[in-house]
Amino acid sequence: MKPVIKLNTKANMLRCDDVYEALINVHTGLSPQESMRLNIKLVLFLTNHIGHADVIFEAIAKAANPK
Amino acid sequence: MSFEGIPIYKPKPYKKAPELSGVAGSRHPFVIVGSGPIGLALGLAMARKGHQVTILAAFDFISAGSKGICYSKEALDIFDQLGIGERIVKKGVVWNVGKVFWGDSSDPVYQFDMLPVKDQKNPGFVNIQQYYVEDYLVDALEQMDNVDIRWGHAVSDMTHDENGATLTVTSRDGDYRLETDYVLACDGSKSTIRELMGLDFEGRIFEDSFLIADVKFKQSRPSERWFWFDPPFNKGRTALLHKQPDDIWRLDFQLGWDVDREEAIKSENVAPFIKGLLGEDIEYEEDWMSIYTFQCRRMARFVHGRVIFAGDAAHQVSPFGARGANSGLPDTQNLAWKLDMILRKQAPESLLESYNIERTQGADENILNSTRSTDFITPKSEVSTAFRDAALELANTYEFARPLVNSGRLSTPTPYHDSPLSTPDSGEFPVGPKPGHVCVDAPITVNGKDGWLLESLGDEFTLLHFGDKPPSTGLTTLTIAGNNLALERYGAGTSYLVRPDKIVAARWAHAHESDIKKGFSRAIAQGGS
Repeated sequence: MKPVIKLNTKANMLRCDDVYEALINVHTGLSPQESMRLNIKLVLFLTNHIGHADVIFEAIAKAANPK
Repeated sequence: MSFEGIPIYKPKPYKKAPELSGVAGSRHPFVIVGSGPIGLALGLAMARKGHQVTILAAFDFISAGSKGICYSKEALDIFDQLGIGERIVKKGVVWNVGKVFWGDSSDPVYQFDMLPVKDQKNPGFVNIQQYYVEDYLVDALEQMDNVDIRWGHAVSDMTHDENGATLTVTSRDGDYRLETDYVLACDGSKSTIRELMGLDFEGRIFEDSFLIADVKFKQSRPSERWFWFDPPFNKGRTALLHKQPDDIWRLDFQLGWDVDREEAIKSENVAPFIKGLLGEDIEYEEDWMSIYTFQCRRMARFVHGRVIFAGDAAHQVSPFGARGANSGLPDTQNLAWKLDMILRKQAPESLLESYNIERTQGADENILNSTRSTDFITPKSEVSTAFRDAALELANTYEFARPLVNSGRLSTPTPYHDSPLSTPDSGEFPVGPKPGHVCVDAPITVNGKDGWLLESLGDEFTLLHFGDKPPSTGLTTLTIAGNNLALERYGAGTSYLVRPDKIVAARWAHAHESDIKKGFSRAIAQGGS
């Protein structure tokens, strides 16, 4: 049996302010459509890097309904 | 030649029904309604099992128009079992590779191979016009003396109860009745039988139209499936190119929803698409022009008492993925052995319910794949379009994004998860097809002759043993010994109980006779499980 991998919802990242800033700055000068496309590319990169469908499904559910 | 606007490939002889000449017709064990690839394949399967076969064909001809052209490896394996596989492969265009292009780049963003496991008899796909497939099926049927294809006889009414049905058949000499124990409805997407029973479909209709332009020209191009997103010759939409026999090529262009069908297939309106794809200088002849729209949907049940539905009559998908005829053909193989054993009283009638369970599950998987492909190919929202374009953009550079590109997930066998006929594995199997999955092919040597595993399986339940000590059973046994690819693919020392449709019913690392008996009883819905 493969271990079940859960979405980590605890603080997990050093330099979180740097990352947050970079996520915003990359959109400078972009139209809403261009921003959407860029965000989607980010999502695609990161979902592949995470590589566990169950983790992605859990993140999708929690993002759609955070409470 | 054409009839009511339907182009004719080959006329077939209409004959007056014996029922209209004062001959009292006897009750039929079953009547097949429909003479497309599904009705004909089901008829041939039942005829080869020795049954008296009656097929009602609404028209007295095989219609022209290439229609369904892509036949999957699974379909070819089924045609092999029906004795016409090699004729189809010989005439057809073999292909395994698909390429996907985006925009005006001549380099593919993604490509796939439909036969990742090599050393199998049949290729991933063969392209061949549907009328050849129908013609070859009819040829095989006409060679048998237990087959009656009634060309130009259409069902116009039906009453049915728990014992069977009475069909009213309309022919040019008048109406007559046929009494039958079973009705096998293979009468296509506009099924008359389905309509007469007031049964409907559940699923999605997609608002998009596509142009099929089958054209004849001579040009050297590889035998591959080429798909374009947003090509310069159909901006913002898609296109598809397939090779067929006789120098015919299938060109397919997305048109959008609001199109004037009559206008769209006029030569002057089709020409810019064709020249855009093939070049301004191309010289071609038009072969068949058609506009299609599609649905992804199925009937809630395929078995309604003694009326059983198969093929497009029961389920429909978009053409991306070639899952139409390629999922109808496994319907026929699944149904044929069950009905055969029921008619011979070797299995209980309740076995039919497993046809419903297994093939609705197959249809669901096809519909899921087909719907996802359609959503990728024709995104219905801004965000869906942005996801599609983002995936295509990344696929240019990054390997990980290429599998996301969905230009149609082409038909592969749909496994039966948790089928009531399957015996769950006990123990670990590092390799080999699981219960509910179709057998994988491999080159084998039987009695000193080179052949293939799948074609060596007959029309009955078979015990496949990979070793030199097959367990004793009353079943037909195929023993494969020696160090070869088949052992690598199934595991040395294992035994597999294979159904007549080449689906694994059960498997054992070390089989015992009593386990095999239990597995067999379960596979024919006999007794408790």
